[in-house]
Amino acid sequence: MILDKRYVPYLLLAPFLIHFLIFVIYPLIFSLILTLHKWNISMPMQWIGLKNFKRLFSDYYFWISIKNTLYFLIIHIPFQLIIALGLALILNQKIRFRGFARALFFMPVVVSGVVISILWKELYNYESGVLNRILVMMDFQRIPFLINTKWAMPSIAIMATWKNVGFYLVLFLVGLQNIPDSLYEAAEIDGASNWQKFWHITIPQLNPTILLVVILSSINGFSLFIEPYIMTGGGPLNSTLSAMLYIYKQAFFFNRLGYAATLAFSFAIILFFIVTVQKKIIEKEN
Amino acid sequence: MKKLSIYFLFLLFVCTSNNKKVYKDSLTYWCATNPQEYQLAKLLVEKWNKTHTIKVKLQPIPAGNSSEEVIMAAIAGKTTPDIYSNHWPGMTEELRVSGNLYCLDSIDGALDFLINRCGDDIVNSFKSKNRHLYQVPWKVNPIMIMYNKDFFKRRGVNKIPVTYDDFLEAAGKLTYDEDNDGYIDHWAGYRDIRPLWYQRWFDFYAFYIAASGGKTLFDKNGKFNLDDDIAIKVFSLFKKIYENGYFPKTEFQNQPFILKRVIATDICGPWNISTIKYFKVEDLDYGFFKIPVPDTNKVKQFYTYGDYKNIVIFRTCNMPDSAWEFVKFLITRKSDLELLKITNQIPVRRDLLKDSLFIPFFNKHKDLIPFAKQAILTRSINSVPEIKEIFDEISQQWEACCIYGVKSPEDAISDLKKRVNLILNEF
Repeated sequence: MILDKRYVPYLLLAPFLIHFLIFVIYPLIFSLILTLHKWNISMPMQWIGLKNFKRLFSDYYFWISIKNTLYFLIIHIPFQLIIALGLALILNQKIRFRGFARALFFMPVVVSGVVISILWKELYNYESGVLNRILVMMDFQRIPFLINTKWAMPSIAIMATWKNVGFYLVLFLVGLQNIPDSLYEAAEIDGASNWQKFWHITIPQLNPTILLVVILSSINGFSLFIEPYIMTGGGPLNSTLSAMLYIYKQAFFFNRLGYAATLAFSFAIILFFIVTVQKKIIEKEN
Repeated sequence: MKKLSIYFLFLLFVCTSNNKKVYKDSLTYWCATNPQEYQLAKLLVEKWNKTHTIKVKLQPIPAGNSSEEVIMAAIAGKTTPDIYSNHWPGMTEELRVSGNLYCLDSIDGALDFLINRCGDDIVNSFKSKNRHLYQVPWKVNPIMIMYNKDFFKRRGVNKIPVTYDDFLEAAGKLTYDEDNDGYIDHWAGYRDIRPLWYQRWFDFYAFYIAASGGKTLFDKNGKFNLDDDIAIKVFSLFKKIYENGYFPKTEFQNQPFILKRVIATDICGPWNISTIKYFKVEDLDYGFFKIPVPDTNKVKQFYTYGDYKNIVIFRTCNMPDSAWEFVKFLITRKSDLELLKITNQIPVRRDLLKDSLFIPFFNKHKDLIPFAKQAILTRSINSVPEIKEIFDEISQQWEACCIYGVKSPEDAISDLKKRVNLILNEF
């Protein structure tokens, strides 16, 4: 069979397009329609116009979940950036067991988030956790990692950093290996110190990677769900109620699918705004 | 290209056509997935199929986050079974209003049959807002308090707590630091402190039902009717419990800690008995007592929360009379005995301890007798579409008041009522 050449590109694109239409475009349009409806799955959809948006602005938990998610990002992104970059700088040197160490740091990335959350919940346990046992042995006070409003979100941020740092470490390693040696050689000839080389060569050259890490961390931060779901259930006193956890509660606990879709759209708009600002700031510095 | 398009359309047709076999003379029955309940369902379906022309096709409920979520997905996909036996009563009204459940009292003799089996009180408590019945009360896990007898003796607690004062007094003795390192390592009890809506069934709701002599959150007309005074008393009790450290403010991963002798009491259902056998800690000397009440003079009967699982027939069933016959078969005396033997769960049957068929079983399993006695004095979750959200709000106020002590019980109950009003009327 001889195909008309004009159709060949479309045929080749068809698997992607079909997937894209069914799994991206259709849910997106359906969610948009849902924002204007009340729907609990078992009953027919009921048109309610902009009532979901009206509720959103007066919803105390919506604002708390935004505040918590932003707080998580403020702790998580710099922490992630510094640790991943620091480790990448060390593991980019010619040191012993370099390959093993790289694999070791990457391991938490591939382990299930649920498993890691359960393990860390045990580590953080106020009464029987290993960390608190060590603190008591060393004559320190126990830390209420997950049962204190001040400690809970930073504790989750530390755990999330531990889990994801391997991935960003790989990105930084790629970035570091793409910096031409000639730049460092020229700087050395000019008598630059290690700090000057790091500040004036490494950081500017890594700018696209830093931007990528910041954007990916922000997106991942807004997807924060498994950790609070498993470790705290959103408590104590809603201090770890993240945007995703709140959407999940509305959709799958309370069957308010229209309102959950409204929340999801609103969070997506906020995320888009944050990423745009980040992009502007970081690219400006470049 | 034309040929290719035809092939593609054919493929699409094959993929999207409904390839589900149609059993015209059979009923589809979904049961719970846990091994014991599946074993029971398999046994009963095999027995039924041997003697009846209308066959039953058994299937454990498909996997999902929760059975409620799976039922919702089945409704959306129009793949509901004819009969389902792991139905959570809290969901009934939602399914009734959306026209998904078969009205059982429209079947001749069904209501009388169920009243005869379970008693008026229980059957009426499961009627919907429109005063019709859409679910068969099947089995129940009454919530009681398990206690470690040795622990009680060792700490000098000689009286089973009946009132809140008794409970607090006992809790003070049962909570202690064994190795003198300055930290408590044995507690009077333990509850999951996470603000999860279903966790409040086992503390707030069980204590509220007990203290109010069997009241639930909604009245017969479906109106939210929280007894402020009782709710404040329950909140105050648990506030004192957490303030004094009688229950730890933490979450233990490996439950139940009563088996490890870390805690002295555990608010639980009869499932703890199976857990004891599973973990082979038969040397644990345990007993059960009823949920304490604020004042024994004001409570005539000791009610508690009953974790019910019921049976429903879906409207998609095209043979409702046959489905009802099968449901009746699932809840015969003999089937209920099998339920007890295989799952150790209590059938909702008013004459359970007097019936000659069950007496030998209970003589052998004396630890289940308190639950069998308590079963007829239980209340379930109100069947209101917003019930999960209401319990979520109770959890929020519970956490703020009882666990972290940032609100007084009075303020917590006042805020709860305001929020419930918002949930029911504005959202």
